[in-house]
Amino acid sequence: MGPSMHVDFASLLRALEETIIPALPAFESLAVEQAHLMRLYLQRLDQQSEYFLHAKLHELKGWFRLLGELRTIAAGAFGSNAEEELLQKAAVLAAVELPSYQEVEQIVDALGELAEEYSRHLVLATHGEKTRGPIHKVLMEHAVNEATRERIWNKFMGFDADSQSLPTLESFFHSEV
Amino acid sequence: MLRLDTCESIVQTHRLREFQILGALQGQLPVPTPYWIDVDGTWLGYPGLIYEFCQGVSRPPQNGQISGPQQGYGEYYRKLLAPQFVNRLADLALASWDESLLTAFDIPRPASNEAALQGVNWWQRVWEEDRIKPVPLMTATAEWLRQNAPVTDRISILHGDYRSGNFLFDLESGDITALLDWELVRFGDRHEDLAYGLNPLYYTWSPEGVKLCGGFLPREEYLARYEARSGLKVDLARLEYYEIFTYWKSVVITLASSARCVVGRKTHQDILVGMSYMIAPTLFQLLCNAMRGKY
Repeated sequence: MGPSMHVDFASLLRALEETIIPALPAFESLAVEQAHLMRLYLQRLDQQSEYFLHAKLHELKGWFRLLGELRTIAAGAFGSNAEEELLQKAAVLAAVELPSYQEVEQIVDALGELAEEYSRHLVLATHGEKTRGPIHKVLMEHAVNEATRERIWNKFMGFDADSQSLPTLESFFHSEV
Repeated sequence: MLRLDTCESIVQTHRLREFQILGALQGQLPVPTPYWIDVDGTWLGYPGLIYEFCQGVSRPPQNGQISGPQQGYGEYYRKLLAPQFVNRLADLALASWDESLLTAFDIPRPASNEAALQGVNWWQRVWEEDRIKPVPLMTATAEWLRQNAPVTDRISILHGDYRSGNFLFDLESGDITALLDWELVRFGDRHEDLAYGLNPLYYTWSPEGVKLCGGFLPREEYLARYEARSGLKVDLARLEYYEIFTYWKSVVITLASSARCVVGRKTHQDILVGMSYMIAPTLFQLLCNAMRGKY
């Protein structure tokens, strides 16, 4: 619904570079240094944000491979049921190949524009027709789903008067099909 | 006081309209006296106007907020400001004007639905020009607003952004000294301004836990005072229509124009304007709730 996360990072960086850092007095050397470090840190987060999950999954695959090799060398000398359970879960995740963020984003944008085109045709073509109800039902379901996800995403800002009714990000995404 | 256009803001400003309406309201409402207008930026570099400096504050000094809708007046000032806030809105609905001096406006006819349609057309154009992402329900709602545009009994001057934070008051007496920020002014149905002030986004809570519309009064009291002051009936069906219009317009401003402004790097308040599109989902949820069962 909102613009990409890179826009958020760009806003933070611009505020830091063009408003905050120039306003810091030079004699506040600690603050100036921290502000410049913050800028670098934000730049890094911006560049790497598309790969947070890739990095974690890469780490998982590394440990999984190492354990496989260690277990081969150990030849069954150690082991437990809990270990087997853990390795089964890890095996599932180790087999996952994540698409790139950009690839997903491009498809999302294209799907959205196509859905927009469809709904414009349908909404404008069906004044008083039987299809009006079903069209608006599916548009409403989609809209509520979008609104819920984005409200959860932005809950930390404290603007949402009804935020107590919202699930956590984790439970929302895990309940989604 | 110089009011100069910025490179881009979250609402497009029409300085000539602002200038003309401030002139029309002299002696009727507490508004600054306009002195000069530079419509196309010939003299000031950007379009701008200069008006009288007004005394007063927009918030009590203990509130450190720079800008934003909920100014946190506290109980003492809320009680002083609330009746004035609603009375001024009622006075605005009754204000008179000389049409020959309002050349920048296209004034809709009463006893027609032109007022509502003008509003829908205005903000749908903004949506189409500024949106970053598709949101099919916005198009469907625009169509619903067009199909259900109500007839207006009388045409009034509308402020367009009548809320806490957009007026000055005297700290000692608590009197409202100036109504400000007229950049969205237009002519239309008074229920539009009334509905805008009822937007849950501007709710606050009293110490007793009562929900206060606009941060001032409970809804029923707000509407009753408005009726009593203006002598104009509040039509609940029209009010509901304009509440839906308000949510839809607010989503246009926050989700489309704010995002466009930030993406284009055209604001000096990057983070604040960026926060505006984070409010959009809440407004969008209000729109969904209001539109449920409307088809």
